[in-house]
Amino acid sequence: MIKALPLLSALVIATNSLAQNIIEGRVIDAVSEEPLIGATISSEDGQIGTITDIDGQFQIGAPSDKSLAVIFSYLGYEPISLTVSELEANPAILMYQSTVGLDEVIIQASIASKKTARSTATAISYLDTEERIEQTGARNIPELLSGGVPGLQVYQSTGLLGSGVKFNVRAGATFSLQRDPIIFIDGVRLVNTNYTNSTFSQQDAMSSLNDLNVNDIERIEVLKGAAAAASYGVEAANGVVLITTKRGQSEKPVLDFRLNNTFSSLANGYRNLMNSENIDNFYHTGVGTNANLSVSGKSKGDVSYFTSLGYNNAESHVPGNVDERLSARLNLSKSGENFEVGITTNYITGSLEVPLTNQSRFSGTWNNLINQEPWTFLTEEAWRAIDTRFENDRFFGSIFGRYSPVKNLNLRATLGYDQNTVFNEQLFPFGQTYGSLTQGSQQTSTRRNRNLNIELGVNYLWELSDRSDVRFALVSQTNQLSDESSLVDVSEFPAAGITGIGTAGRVDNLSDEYIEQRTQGYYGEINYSYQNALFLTVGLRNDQSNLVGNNVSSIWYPQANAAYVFDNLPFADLFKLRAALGESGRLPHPNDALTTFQGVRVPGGSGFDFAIPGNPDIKPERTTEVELGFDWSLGNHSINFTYYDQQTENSIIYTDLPPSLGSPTINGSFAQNVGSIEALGIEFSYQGQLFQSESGNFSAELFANLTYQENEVTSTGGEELNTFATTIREGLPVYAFFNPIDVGAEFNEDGEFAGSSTSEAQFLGTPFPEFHGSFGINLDMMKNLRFSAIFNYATGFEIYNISHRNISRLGDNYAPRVTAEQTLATLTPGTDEYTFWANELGRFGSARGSYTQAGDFIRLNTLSITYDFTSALSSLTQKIGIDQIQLSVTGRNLWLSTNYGGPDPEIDGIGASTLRRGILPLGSDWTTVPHPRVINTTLQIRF
Amino acid sequence: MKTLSITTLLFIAIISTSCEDWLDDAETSPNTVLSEDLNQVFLFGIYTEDDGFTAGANLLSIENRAIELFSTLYMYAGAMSDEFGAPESPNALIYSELTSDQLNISDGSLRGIWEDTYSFLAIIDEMKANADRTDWGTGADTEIIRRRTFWAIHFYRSLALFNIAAYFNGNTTNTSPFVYIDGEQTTNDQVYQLAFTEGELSLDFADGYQERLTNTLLTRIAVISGNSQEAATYASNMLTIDDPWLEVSHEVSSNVFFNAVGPGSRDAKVNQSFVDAIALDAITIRNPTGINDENGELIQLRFGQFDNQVILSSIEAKLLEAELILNGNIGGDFAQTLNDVANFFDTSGGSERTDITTSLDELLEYRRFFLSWQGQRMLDQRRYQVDGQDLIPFTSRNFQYIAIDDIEQ
Repeated sequence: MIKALPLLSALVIATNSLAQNIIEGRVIDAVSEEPLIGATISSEDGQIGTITDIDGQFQIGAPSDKSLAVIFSYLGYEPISLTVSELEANPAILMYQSTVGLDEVIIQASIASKKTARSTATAISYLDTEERIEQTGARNIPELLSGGVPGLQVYQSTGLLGSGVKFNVRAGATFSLQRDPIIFIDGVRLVNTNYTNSTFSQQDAMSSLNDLNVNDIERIEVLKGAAAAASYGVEAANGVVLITTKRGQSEKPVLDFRLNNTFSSLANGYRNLMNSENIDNFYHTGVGTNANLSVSGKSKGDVSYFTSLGYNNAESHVPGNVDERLSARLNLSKSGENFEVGITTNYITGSLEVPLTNQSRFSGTWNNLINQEPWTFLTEEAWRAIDTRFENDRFFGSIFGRYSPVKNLNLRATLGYDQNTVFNEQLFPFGQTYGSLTQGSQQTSTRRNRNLNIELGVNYLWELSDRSDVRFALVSQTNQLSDESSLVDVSEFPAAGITGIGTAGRVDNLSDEYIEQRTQGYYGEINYSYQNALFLTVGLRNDQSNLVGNNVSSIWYPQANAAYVFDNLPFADLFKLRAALGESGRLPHPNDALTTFQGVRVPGGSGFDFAIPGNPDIKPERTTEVELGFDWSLGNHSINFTYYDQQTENSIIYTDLPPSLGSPTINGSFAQNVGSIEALGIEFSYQGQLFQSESGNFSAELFANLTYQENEVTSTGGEELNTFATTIREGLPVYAFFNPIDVGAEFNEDGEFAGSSTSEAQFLGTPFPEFHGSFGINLDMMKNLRFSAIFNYATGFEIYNISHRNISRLGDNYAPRVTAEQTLATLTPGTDEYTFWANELGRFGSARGSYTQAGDFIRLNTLSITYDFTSALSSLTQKIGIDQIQLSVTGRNLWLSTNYGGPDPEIDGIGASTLRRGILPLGSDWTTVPHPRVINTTLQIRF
Repeated sequence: MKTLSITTLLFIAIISTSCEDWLDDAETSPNTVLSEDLNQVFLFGIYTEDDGFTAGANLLSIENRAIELFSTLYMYAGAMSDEFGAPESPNALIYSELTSDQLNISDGSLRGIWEDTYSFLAIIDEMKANADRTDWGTGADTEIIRRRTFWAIHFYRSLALFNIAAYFNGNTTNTSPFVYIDGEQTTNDQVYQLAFTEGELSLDFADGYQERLTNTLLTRIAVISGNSQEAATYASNMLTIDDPWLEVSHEVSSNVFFNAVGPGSRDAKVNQSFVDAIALDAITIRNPTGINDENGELIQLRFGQFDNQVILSSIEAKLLEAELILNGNIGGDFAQTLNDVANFFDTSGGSERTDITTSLDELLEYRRFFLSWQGQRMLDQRRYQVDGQDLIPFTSRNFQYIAIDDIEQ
């Protein structure tokens, strides 16, 4: 769970053994007196870094600087900071569990510096992955993050396994369809692409984020807004997610085995249908297995290792939606007194089968929705014969090093590389009938994404006095991203069973694309600290990129922030006021800056014609953010509050240019920085221990977070951008629903129903919620039984239910319309009852606004029970060397209350972030598969 | 300490190293090319002693845009004349416009013409920029290619500017016509002058035939814009009757004209008055017509799906010459000039007339029939209207220019 800032505390008991230049000690739970395994021990200067072993024991070299602070931290406990002298005097550390408080967790406050949470002046969220997995049974990144971070809404855009991931970060003040934060894992800049299969639709089909094995992850930090992420520069306006994988921490090798079984089924039946049995029965119970084995440890030579092997084979509630994946990881590092070097590597190979459930005529969901009789446009056999799958091979890893030639001076370097090759095939076999297609067709594509990033940094701590210091930091960040894809689309195979591309009678489409993005950034930062209470930071980032226009020089992003911490006030143990200002950007699309030409066949040979008119003045969208907040803690309760105000300028709009300006306009493809958006938001979180028995056998913790956000388009340069569902126009939120609605019936001269009466277009809401958040409770009972419940909710948003509109217009299964039609047929025109039902029927015409539905919901996101058998089976576990054995049962999506007319309001079939110019109809439910109910059992054994 | 300082400074130096060249070296998609890829001599043309000059991809690119533009523009310009007849049930927007005698800026097709016109100019400008950046060397062969290139660029630029001035107007009437150049309002007269300038520039690079072609264009510009002095100068060396015509070829894809008028798609109904007025075999040969089997309508048969669109011809040169003779700008035999036109189509000589009386009506009749379907009737309508009355026998139109789309305003 998120330690939105803090937790933990400390204390001491235990054995004390001070050998020559060695400090030995032990860390235990202050209440239960159980040893804390894997507690982190580090020093301010970074020269000490170890963890406790299986007995809570630790051993560190005694630094010569006796005033150096040594920090003990353990997730779920309050940290302790002791000087070396204090530690030598009393190396028995008692740590108290805590639910709240500004902790001393070290977090990555900017690209240049790690800080204690106490000294951070922005709202940075910190996620303890182990605990989160235990509480939620999370299988992937969106499940891990969902509801865990105030200001961040994350979910898979469809209920299919492996589908696209949608991030709503803060108020989403951008027109861009690239709405994902940038994601680093161990310093590797991840390519987090959402893939589609475009044969019949653009529906999100696969996200590369699903490649990550969550069992490998130690922690996740989220920098949400421009103020916090300014140091990451030109691509960071959507925020930054920093993922750290596990390291070996104890000298004794730790073997961790987890076996996970899932059972997925339709969570909420379809409503508003005359016959929902077909579509409900279309789903089944999908079974999955995930096995994960890891070995970690640390040698006496200070070589830390962590290696894991994960295998996943799962089918979702949609028949044939199978995700099979093998993941292997090796992390190695060696540290010394003044250096650390290491590597992280991860290889993933997998396949994902994605049966058609999109907005095509051959979609399984559509064929069971449109009419009361199933399978309108093809047979079930033909649907099952369609083979749509992705196969991917991915490697990412990093090499990193840190060197401290003298005290307070640190040099560091990281090289990260991510390569992902994805093969996609969609086969309609010969012999089955798909409309007019009977001889089959096949589309294959191969896509290779590569990202290389290099980060170099130097920082120096200048100790002005015992009470104040200044830290200078300089960082260089280089990034090269490439996206290479080719596609072959063929049809008309000669016979059944023949599917090779070369055997097809017709080639329908060929394409070959390449996109490359290069960026170079420099960031300088100065931090000032006074009495560990006042913290000031100023920073400046400079970026250059090949994606900005030739007439644009480098771009500057400033930031400044301040925090002041009051300790031991009458109303608070700790009270921190913070303020931050920062700017960051979003890069233009790779095709925005340069005028490109394409080959054309002309009489006499080949020539060129304009492909896309480039804008040499195009520059990144810029978001300026002011953030104000406070963090408060008293006893076991804490509150975090943040208010932010965002101003986005230079938003990119694609328009036609006046032709006489010399650049031919092609379907509104000229990019211009003419848009602006204003946004604000409030984030609130509470965490508190409601109860803890004196024996420590029972404790109850409550947490809740609430996010409010709004935005308004203040300028579009006079343009109005429309998709069939959403629009961008001045005075409305971005991607607002702005459509006519059917208000009732029109009547002919005889008083008979004569169609729908339709209003003018009007603002109907936004696909992004005004309020969202989560709340839940954690119960610890009898030291070995844990119970957790987490609810997610969102209000103040709409969904355009395209399924309902299409069923109403084209089929006979939309209950409100069919009921009105049938009733009306029995009534006499002119009567009040006839008029009433005519108006009812009229409300379901073809106006899109009539199918824009409120999406408010509250969901029991997860309910989990974990029992630790270690003590109960002590005779057995000790005999075979098991340190821990526990069983968790988690239910996901167990209960949903919503006024949305479809089965699931938390979907957006084509809403995941995408590298695309222009706009898309965000917030649409177009036969989109709802999220399943998942029962998840996990057996974890640690040796 | 010294080592430390050096190490640290070296590290900071590495961090601070600028990578502008590295940024600029980013690869682009193989599906597209950039301007910087188009600065090669062979992309403008190839010359060998045996095969002579062959246009390269850059020059063919201009031709490609010309195809798109002229087949569309001249169809609309023709629709303003009496050549077309409106069917009872207009099945294309152009016929609706013809029926209602309007060419509104709300018509997306009109916007397409304006865009096509500027796309033509834009590709010429792009190729000129590429030609200016090209290292031409000093070889005799490349000099030939260079001259062909710069003649074509300036000639087509002159043609593009002429089209802008002659066919478009921001206020859709004949009152102080203006168009947009680089987003700025510019009078049509100023644009004619720009067209003259470009044509003059092209003559610096022209061979004999190109010079005659250019002079024909410049004479047309001068006549249409009312500059008889210049017209007389250029007319002395126009295309001869046997010179090849300048046409845009549709051998690759069907012409846009065909999309509205071609057999198998939509037949273009011809005004009965147009056919009734035919008095010479030469005119019948030039303007074949037929009957649509399904609806019995009279339709034109001149243009097929892949037929070329004429831009400049020796026929037009002859008629320009006749006009200048008629107006006394140059000397010559008016009747023989018109007979040369008729004899070109009717090689039997049967269409040669002895009753020509050297009148404007006769000239206009020959322009009407021998320049039909080329879009020049719209220009004639405008310049031969005196005191609000048409001097040529076709229906007066409300619009004398094609309206410029409001995207410019």
